[in-house]
Amino acid sequence: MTLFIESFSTDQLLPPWQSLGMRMWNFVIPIEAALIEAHLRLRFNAAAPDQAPYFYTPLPGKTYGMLCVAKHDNFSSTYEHKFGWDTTRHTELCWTFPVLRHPIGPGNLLLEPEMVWIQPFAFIDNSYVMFSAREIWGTEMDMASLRMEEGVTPDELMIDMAIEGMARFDPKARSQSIGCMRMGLKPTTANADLEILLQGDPDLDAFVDILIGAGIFTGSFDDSGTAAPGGMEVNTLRQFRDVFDMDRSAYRAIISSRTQHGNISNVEFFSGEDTVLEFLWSDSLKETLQAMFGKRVRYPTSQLTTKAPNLGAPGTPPTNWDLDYMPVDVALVISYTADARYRIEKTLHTYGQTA
Amino acid sequence: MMRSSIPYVQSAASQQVPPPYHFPGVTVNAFYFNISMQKVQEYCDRYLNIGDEASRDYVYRPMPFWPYATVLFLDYPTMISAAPASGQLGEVGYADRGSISQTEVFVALPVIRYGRGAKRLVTDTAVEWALPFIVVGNPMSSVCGREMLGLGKLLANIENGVGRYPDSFLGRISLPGWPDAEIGTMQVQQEFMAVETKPVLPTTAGTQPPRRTLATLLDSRAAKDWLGSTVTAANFIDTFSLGLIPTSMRTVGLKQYRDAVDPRRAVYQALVTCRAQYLNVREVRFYNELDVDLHFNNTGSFHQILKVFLDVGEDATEMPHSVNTVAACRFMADINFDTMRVIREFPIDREGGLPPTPGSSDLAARWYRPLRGFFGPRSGVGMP
Repeated sequence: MTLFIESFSTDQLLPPWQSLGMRMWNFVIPIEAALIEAHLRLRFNAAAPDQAPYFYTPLPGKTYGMLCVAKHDNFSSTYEHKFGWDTTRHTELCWTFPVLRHPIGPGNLLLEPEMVWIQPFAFIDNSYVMFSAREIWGTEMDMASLRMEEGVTPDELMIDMAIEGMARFDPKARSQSIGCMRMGLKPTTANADLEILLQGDPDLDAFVDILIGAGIFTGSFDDSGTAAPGGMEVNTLRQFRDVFDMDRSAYRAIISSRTQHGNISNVEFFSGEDTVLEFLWSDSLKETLQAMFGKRVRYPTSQLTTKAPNLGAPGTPPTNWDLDYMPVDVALVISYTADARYRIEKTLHTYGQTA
Repeated sequence: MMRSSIPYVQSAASQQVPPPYHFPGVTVNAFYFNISMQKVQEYCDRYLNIGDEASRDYVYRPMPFWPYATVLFLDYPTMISAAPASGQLGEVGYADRGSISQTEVFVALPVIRYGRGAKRLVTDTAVEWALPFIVVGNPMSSVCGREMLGLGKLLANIENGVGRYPDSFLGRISLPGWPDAEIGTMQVQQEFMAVETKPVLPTTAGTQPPRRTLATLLDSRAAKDWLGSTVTAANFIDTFSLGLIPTSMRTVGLKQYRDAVDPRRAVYQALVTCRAQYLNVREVRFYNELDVDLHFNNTGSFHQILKVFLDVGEDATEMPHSVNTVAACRFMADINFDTMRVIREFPIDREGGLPPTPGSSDLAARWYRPLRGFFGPRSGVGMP
């Protein structure tokens, strides 16, 4: 076994991870199957140069994804050889959707698929966790400034995110804190009955069934080892650039991990019609937005009446919120408090390493 | 087994900016302090002299006539990437996107890579700089440095400005860390190190007469006459500053990734070198090194960092650890960062009965590369 040579700069949050008392907001968003297919084609189905023994396809029918915002106040490693120097707090946002993973059988036949989740992008406000997520799990995670505040009533929810980037690409442009997302609930919004929200939308009903099956807001931990694992299986393309040729990877693999939620409380549902979710259109983010959400109408101002915060670092120009706002239709919002567990299960395929 | 060419998928979400980079108008504050040769050798043996000594065709050792570590505070007002855009997404070229600014601090140790055997001793021996500690203020820079270049860049809050006196320097770094090793202790942002100087020399603000500084040497008649005969600023910098100011710093670092399932295992390990070329060095000014207050906070998890390059004992003292500087200066330069190269890729053991991945070497020293390229066959990591 080739040993990893430890140093303080790679003294990472080793998996498995746990989060105690996580506060989660899930925004369920319809997504075009063609956009999912394009994402899968480049990352999971491409010959690079060899083909992984799996083929990924979108779910049949109308497809949904989830924009998940989680506030972790007690997040740590449960790695068996690690004690102390590992507890953090942070807020993260990730975009995730379910797909089908088909094993490729003899004659290139696609065998019975399993459902797995893909996370095309994520943002976080803690560099220690970001390095660990990127370098161990392969998560496409970047640094951001995130504010998530809840009040007494649902309409006091404020989620805002900014990144360091360019509003407009120009040789003379300077990077600064730019707004990239705002979320909130409209005034007088109250929590809703899930059954009523799902009436007349069998696709959304089916998607919620997927969430219930994965125990996302209904789960419990079974440590006896007798039950099926449950939770969400997440597949990640883990890749690192070659130092000489930036279009080549020094390492590329598909990683399978599992996320489980338990000890769930305070589950509430909100109608998508009561929700405002807006991305801000900047040159730094537009490729991501187009790739994941397609072309949508943009407006010069926000639909939210709350003031956007300054999320820039002290001594730097204030966050630029003066950008076009791209609202995204939300089908359903689910909020809850839970404990979460994250573990890596296996490396499904390592590219470029044949005998 | 041949290692195949594996494409990298450029993500639209990624804010990474690949090298080469051009950094004009960088302000550098440099501080030099004694370091034990034993510490440098321990660093070399752990992070550079990897693998079985008998089969290794190089060995890293400290530079015996340079028992100093250098702390460099760099303020980059403009960072420009000269990398072509990835063709995968029809992207805007990096140079056309605009520029970012950032601050960076690192500790540099010069090391010598000796080729082993008579021929390699001549062709493969080179001076390189190991960076046992490096922090940056920009998240994109930290990700690029870690994932592409094998530099262990941490993301820090870096204060980089003028101290109490005009023309002085004050630098502070705060990092995420843990005050103690108790289970459940929460990570906090804490001050890791600070440095403060009096004004650049000559000054009346200092408390100590400058006895050892290079600025004192510059005051002598003979030095002034000699300085007048130097032809170029580069000559002056290279020879008269006794190497205090680097004009071409080739860094070496260990680029490695863990196995996701068993994090004790490595799935990739390579030595990577890059060149930081200091051009147009100007406005060189010296501080009185006797009036420099440089200290590191030897507390909690920071102790793990300090013991790599300082003699701080086995346990954290929970006190500041002061360091006596032997020289201190400030200058401006334009910096190019380029010529990234894998000089040694280590074989990696694999499971499932597969043989280890093949290692490879490209250790030729800089001076020998043109000759080898002209007279010999092309070879190197990644070449067929």
